[in-house]
Amino acid sequence: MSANNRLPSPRGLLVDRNEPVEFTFDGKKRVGLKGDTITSALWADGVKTLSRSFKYHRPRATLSAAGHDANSLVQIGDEPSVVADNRVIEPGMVVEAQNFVGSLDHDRAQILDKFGKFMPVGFYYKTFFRPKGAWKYWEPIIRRMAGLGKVDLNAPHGYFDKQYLWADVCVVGGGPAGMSAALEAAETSDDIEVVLVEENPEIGGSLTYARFDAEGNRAAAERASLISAVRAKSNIRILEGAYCNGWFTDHFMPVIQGNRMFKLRAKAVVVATGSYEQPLVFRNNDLPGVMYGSAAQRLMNRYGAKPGERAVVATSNADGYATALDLIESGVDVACVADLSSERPNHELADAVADHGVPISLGATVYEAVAKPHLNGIESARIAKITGEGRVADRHDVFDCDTIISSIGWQPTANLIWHAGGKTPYNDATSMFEITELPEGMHAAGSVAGCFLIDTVIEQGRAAGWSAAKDAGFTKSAIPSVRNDKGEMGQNHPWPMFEHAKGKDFIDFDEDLQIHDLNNAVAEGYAHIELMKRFSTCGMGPSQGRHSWLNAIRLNAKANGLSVNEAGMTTQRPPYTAEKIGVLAGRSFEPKRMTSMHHRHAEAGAAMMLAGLWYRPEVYGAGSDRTAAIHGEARNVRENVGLIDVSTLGGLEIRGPDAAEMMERMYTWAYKKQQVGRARYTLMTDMTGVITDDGVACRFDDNHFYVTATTSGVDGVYKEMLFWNAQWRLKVDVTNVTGAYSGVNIAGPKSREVLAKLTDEDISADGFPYMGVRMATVAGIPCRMLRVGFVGELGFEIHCPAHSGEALWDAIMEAGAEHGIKPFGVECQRLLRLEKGHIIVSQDTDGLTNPLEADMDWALAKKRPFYIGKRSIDIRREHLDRKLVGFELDGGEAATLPKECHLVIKDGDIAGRVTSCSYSPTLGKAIGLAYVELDQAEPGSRFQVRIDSGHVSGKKVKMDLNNLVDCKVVPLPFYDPDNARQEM
Amino acid sequence: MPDAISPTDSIRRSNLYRVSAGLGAQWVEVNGFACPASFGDVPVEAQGAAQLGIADLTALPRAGYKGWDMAGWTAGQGVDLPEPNQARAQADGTLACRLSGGELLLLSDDGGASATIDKLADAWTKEGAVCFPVPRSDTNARIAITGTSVPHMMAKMCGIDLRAHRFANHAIVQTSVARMNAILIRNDRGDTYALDMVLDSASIVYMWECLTDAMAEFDGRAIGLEAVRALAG
Repeated sequence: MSANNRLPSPRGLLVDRNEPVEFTFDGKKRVGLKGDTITSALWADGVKTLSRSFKYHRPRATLSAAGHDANSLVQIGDEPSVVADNRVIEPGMVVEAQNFVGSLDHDRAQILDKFGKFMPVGFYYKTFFRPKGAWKYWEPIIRRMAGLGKVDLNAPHGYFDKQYLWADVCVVGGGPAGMSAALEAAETSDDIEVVLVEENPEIGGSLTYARFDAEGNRAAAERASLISAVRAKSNIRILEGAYCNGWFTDHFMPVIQGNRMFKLRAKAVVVATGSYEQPLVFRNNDLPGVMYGSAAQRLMNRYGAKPGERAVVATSNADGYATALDLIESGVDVACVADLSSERPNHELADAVADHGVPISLGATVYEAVAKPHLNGIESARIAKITGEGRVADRHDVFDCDTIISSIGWQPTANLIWHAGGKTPYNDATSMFEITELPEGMHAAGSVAGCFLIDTVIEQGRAAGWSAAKDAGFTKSAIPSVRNDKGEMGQNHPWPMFEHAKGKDFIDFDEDLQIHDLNNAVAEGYAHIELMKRFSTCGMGPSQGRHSWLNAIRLNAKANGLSVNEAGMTTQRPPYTAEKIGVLAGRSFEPKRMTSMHHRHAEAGAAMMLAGLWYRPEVYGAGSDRTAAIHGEARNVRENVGLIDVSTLGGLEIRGPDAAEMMERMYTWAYKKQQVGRARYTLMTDMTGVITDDGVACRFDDNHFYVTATTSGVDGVYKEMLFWNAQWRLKVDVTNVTGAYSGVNIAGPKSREVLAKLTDEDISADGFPYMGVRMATVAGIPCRMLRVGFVGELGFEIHCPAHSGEALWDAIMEAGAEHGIKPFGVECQRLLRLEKGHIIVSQDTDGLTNPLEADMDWALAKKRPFYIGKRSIDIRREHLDRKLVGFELDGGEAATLPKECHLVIKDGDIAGRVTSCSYSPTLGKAIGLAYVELDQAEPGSRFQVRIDSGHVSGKKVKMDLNNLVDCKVVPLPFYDPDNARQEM
Repeated sequence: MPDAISPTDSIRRSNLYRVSAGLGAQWVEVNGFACPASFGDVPVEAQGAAQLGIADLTALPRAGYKGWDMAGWTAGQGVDLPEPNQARAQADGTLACRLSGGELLLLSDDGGASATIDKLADAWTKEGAVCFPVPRSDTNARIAITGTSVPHMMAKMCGIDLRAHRFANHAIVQTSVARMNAILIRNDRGDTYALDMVLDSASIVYMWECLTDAMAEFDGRAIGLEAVRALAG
């Protein structure tokens, strides 16, 4: 073929002849026209072969020119398996072929084609598992051979996003049926909103390539009329180059356009998605130059690319004659039309072909394409008379040709209908799957509904659009009438498969499956359609059965002695076609919450950590020695004064006459007698008595409690309170004010001195004793001041309006500078509270821990009849089997520290686990908390913990079940048991 | 000209002030905050705001009341209450946003004062209270999103149909935007479509980043309070 196969106008509807586009394919410069696809540009430039087949490495060229097969998959940069049939070329685009060894033209792996008979269906399953150990040898080889294209694991992240979209009516498919449906729907009202989705770069569908009349004028006329009418309607939004990849309940549909996924919700849907042309199966039906009639028409009429010089057309309907006319008018010598039917279609197209003097052989088929050397194209076509289903006469006529066109039938593109649960049984009379049932609000029109006659298609589209609009609440006059005439086009041949003794009669081009492969699968016992599919992998390639499944089901039915409907169809699920992971991921929304003091932490060199959605300072200025930094912060709190941001702590307002009653039902302790101006510990359990949260309750008024909760627990606590009070109907209001307050805890022996510089309040030990709370002004900021402490030192917790948090932080740091104040982070706080023996809910408790196990009997109201979890706790009191204890290790700073969740081992069995453990620089020893069995819980008892690695008895050890460290139970708290320091 | 103040001069600071400063904000004092007045030429900014603009209005006063007889008490104080999930402008320009039968959010107008908010604050006492103040000024931040492209831009972040003909002026949705809870109130400025987004104050930087990213394709821009006021005429 010459390198200039470009046809003159008016062929080439979509290309701009004034704008050449340079790109490369397989390392060589190529020139196409603006609007060309990769396939059409290469074809016009003389390049047919696009890829090598998956199994036999046979050269493959376009079959459908619409991406309905894997033949046209190519690599563009870091993007593998791009559909060349559909991807429009761009200047400088670098396109590479896929799946070859050596070069595309000289693929060394093509030798596999000679060994086809040694690779029967299921070959992989049967072969590589023996002898034992063989898989290790074969696996890397198979992995190298398998797959299409190359994934670049270092490819930069692309920008993908999603957008919601709403429509009254969504029409999927912008061909004559879809455009008619959209128009009709849009005309029902100016208020109706119609979205028209078209996967090609421009609407038009079959009107951009197909032929409906002998003169060849009808398509252009209808195209001009419909497209201009659709584009003129302001209430039709057209999404071109977009594909609807699935249907979900309530007409929720993903529509992908470029790197964006629209999440479209419609009130009604019209499916006008057309149909896939199906292949004629004969020997060598995969050679470059064998293609569908619609493919040849696409090449000629959309892109102005001449399919070949001399063609044979095999057909069983008027479509093949339409293609033959287009070929003749494009200067292609049509050597013969082999009509598989015994009678010529009663259609002007067939008459016109006959008038051109083209030989027409009725009741005949192409039986073999004779290949050029190295399978590099077609030399001739053998045509034989059909003598029965799948059988031909021995005598063949041979026609020299470089192109073989087949038009023997269609399969509806009913994927969305199948996703929605529509029914499309096989009609033995028409040899087609036909729609018999559609879900509510879904309508179908055009060839997907089995209609190919252009007049009927348009009328059917109008009727579907009217019905969809009605479903969406818009009506106009009566439903448009539809003629009862489907015409001679689009008819299916019942058995377009002719097995050849030498094989290579391909059913599935993606997987290199031939007729005998599927028959053998059934013969080997994989008879059910679902088994046959999986054993043979038919329909499991990139094109997902678009070109293979109709014939595969027919073969399966025949082999099993069933009807096609009895053989059944496999389940069709979204997506309709391949979609990128990036499209599914979209933009990554990862919410984050930052306290008002966040930037001060960053400026002070804090390493930040996530606590739920919050960013919290973990440790300041850790540098290379994180532990030293934490210990330094701890020392400053114990000996001097430190400041920590506790803004993330939850805050709830409980207000109303029943506030105290609400508190006593939600928490385990007593609150009715709590004095105004005092704080009290809170412990929350669920109905099973399991600890769910803790904090403090500050009583600011008889009817007002301000309750803190844990950072990650507050939303759950708030939800629980709303849930319960919806039933209790107490006169109380619960408000989550977590975000309203920023908070700091200033702690250490000098904290009072620092704070006194910023407030006029009496904060002396007598004036503001431990567990006191009050409203106060600090640094001119109205605050809630709490004399509570988690770290076991004199301390004040100050909660201020969130937008003043940074100013409060600045004021305290400035006032404390002369006292050596330093910020401390979450890790230091964890160490200090451990020294003080305070638990952290969800670290020192788990999903089963009750207060008795956590040694918190002191926080339970014994006389009250009810709080949530009380009954369960009372029952559990008699069935305790573990207890949380404090322990210490020998060895000082050199001790090997068990990690959280390291197991307590007793007589070889698991007896508990460690929940917290750290070296305490204050105490000069390693300390921790652990659950142990009751007989191990008394102070002075010893137990052993299995560690994963580290040092045991001074020796470095690797992970071993026998790595046990010895722990001694000690009373809690470890630090300041008389509370003298925090109450000073 | 805006007053020559700096955000750190005040003890009340929007969590977004560093971002605004980075965009070249000129500041004006509002309600004890330094509020971004503009980012350059106000008329140009207002023109952009008609297409797509986002403004940090956290400085503007707001308040909330919640409780079993919020409706009775606030109506008794003269508040003209709308139905739940609707907003209604009061005589002084305050927007009364009813979030539920028992919860009210009050937003000042863009002028930065609200007689209604002040009046309710003075009137409320804890004795015999049937509803309670909600600290909306600090719980929440407030972002105005203005211009004809707002619904299309928001469709990238929110599943609610906010188009002008589907989401009427003064309609309210309490929904998820970019996976964060937010209250969206349609509050047109003059003839220009506008939303007020009331959101968690600790998340304003995150939300601003999401909005900035989403509005890039619509040529959206940060705008100041002056441009928002200019839209209202």
